[in-house]
Amino acid sequence: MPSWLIIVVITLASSLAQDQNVDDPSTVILTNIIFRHGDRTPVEPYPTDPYRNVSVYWPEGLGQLTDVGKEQHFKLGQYFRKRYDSLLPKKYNYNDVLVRSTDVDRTLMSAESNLAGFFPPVKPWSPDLKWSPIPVHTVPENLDNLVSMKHPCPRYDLEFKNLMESDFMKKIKAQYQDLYDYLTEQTGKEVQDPINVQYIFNTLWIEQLKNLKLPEWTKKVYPDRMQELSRLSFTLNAYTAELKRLKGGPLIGEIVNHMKQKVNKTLTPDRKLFLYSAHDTTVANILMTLDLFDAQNPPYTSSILLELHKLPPEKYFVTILYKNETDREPFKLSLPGCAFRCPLDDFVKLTSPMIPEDWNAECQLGAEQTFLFSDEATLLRNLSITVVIGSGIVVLLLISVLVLAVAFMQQRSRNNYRYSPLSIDSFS
Amino acid sequence: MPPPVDFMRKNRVKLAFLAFVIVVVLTLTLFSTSWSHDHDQEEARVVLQESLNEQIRAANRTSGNSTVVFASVIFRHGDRNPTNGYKTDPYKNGSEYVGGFGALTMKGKKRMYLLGKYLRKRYQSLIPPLYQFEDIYVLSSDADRCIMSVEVLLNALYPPLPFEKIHPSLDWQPIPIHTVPRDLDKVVSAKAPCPKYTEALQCVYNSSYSVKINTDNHELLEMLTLKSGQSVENYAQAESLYNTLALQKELGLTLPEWATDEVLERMKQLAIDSLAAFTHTKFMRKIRGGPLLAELRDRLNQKRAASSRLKMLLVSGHDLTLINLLRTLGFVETRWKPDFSATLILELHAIDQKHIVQLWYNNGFAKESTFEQLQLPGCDLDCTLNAFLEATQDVTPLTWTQDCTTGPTDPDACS
Repeated sequence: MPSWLIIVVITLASSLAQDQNVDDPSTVILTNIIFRHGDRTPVEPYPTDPYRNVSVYWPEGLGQLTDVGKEQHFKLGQYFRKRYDSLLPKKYNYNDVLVRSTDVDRTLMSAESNLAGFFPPVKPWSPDLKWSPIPVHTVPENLDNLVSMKHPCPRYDLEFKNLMESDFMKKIKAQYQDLYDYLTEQTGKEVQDPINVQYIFNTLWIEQLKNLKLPEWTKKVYPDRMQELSRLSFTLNAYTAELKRLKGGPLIGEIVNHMKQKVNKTLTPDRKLFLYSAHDTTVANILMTLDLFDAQNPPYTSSILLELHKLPPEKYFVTILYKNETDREPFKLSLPGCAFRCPLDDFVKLTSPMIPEDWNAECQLGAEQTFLFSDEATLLRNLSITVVIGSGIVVLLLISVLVLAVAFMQQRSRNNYRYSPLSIDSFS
Repeated sequence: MPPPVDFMRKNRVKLAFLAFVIVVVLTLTLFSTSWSHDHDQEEARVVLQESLNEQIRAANRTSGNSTVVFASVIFRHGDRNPTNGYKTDPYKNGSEYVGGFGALTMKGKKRMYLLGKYLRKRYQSLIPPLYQFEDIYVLSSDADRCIMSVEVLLNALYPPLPFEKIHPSLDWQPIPIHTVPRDLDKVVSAKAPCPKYTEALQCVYNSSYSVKINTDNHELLEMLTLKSGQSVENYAQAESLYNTLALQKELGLTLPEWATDEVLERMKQLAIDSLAAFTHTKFMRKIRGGPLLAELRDRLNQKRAASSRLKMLLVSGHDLTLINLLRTLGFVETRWKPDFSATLILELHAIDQKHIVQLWYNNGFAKESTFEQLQLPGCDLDCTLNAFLEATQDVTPLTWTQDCTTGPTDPDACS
């Protein structure tokens, strides 16, 4: 037997012997956690909302974390403590941990509550206080392209506008126009796209969660039809490759950098935990960018865990977990093109197209963009039969890919996920 | 005796009836108990909710009487470890510093807690014990020790009420603290880059004013250079060395022989000069103290126009945050050296339909600390809001970014 064949056989055998699907936190040397805040009040009740009176129904204020939300994150912090007990010393040290939140009350408070459960004081500074201060850093929203993802980006805005005016979205609009009209009429708020629907859906969902009786008109459209669009809305911000790169790219880039620096020993301080306190949109955008989104509204406290493992002597791999339910272990996600336990080199390679080298530069509507448009203009001027046929074929192809993708996504969500945002039980 | 099967067969109808009756009675009993159970529970829930609502209402009431309608509280973080060592420093590896270089110490946390308790007492009539996001806004420098300091202070200002507790044994609740990265922060740490300012500061360091201080202390600076093993050629470098030595002494560490009390006192005077140099000219005050002043003025204006429900603004910063602001307000004669937890309070009072501004200062908080009232230069001790706004008008930056880049060079800095 030639020697190369022996090597192949051995490699195959050893890879088969290794269970590629084990979730074992004991080999983690670095973890990056992105989570959504806990239970909150509605951000903005709709104009005809019977529960608009803030001081009566939402004493915490609008868009604020509730006591339930604080407790949810405190418990999640306790879960993290259990999972990472071998990775992180019980005592908080700034050389181990960096916490970053969006500049919104509910995410700042969620991060603090989480840390209270994650790092209860080893030696309390005050005799009967089971809490000690841990810094949470933030950046104003309009300067934050990393976590809140609200930093202005002209190129992104243009791409997003193109998406909203695409045939796909026109089709959606045609299909749901009656719903848009109905909601506009009933809520007193102009509804024209899935994102508007998602806002109202979210308000109704919270009201139902708080045992408030929903108005009669909702019966016709809530939850089913509204939910379809609400789910779709979470996919839109990072729908195309370009949108993914500009929206989710910076945070994925930062996390990949942490991993690379950890391995080549340039991470300073040599941290073990990066915690990002964020929103449903952040969670959805990151999962979309990684091609792992299940098109479900990310529930409160849902967390993405991107872990770097080290196997002796020098083998590194990355695992991705999604914890979207309070009472069960997280789901194991595999980056398309890689196993659940994805070798670091492969992970870096697979994520590199998602990460902009210079985000600020890519956000500009630069020369490349103008060139593209003038090119398009020429094409339009010289409209020929070839182009028509060509684009026809492309459209057909796109549609079939889309159909396949949707079918695949639905199948995947059936197989892989168990999460029903409408079941009140799981939150009570 | 007939066998039971026979008995059952003969009395089929009677038995069936008996079974039916038993089932009905059981069902009814079960139903009624469960109903009354539900009913009791419902009643209990209502009672509980009522008492909770009452607790919330009670907690949402302020107590006492005061004319204060708004308070801005600006303070330096609590005690910390030295941020750096010097060349011949016996402690330069930092192993003596619990928590590491620059970390907030236990003493610092306790001090901030005391300050929080004091504020709760002082403002019992302004802010209710129930935390509500519209009452208070918290700004902090992005330095860990500042964020941690205000976290502890807030724990004392807003201890959780029984129904606010996340966990029965946890006497703490989360409150949002807003920060801005250091290189973008004009307001609190005041470290946002400003080329024209940097130019001016350099000019101040080279000016005859600075040269005189350095010359007057020539021998001291030479000695410090020799002993510390590093260049201490001017008062700015002396300040950095002083901070390390003074904190080591505070921590109970033995200092090298040359660092006598007399030397430390002389270094302290140089440190004071150094801290003031950052806002030596009016232009520099406008750039470094102006943004925070503008923030305060905005809040006061909003309060007067009744367009804001905010009652308290907390600003967790550094010694320079306080000095820059105080000097920008016009207190340029005082030789400021704020200790840890030093606090400046700006209160807005509504007295007889008039708005009055009062300034209160404490140089470092301790258990029985009190605040002394400061008189704004050019104003009464009780300064009317109009007079206050007028007096601070021309140090309020309107075109900060422009002033920093394309504006004229500071004419006063080099003289």
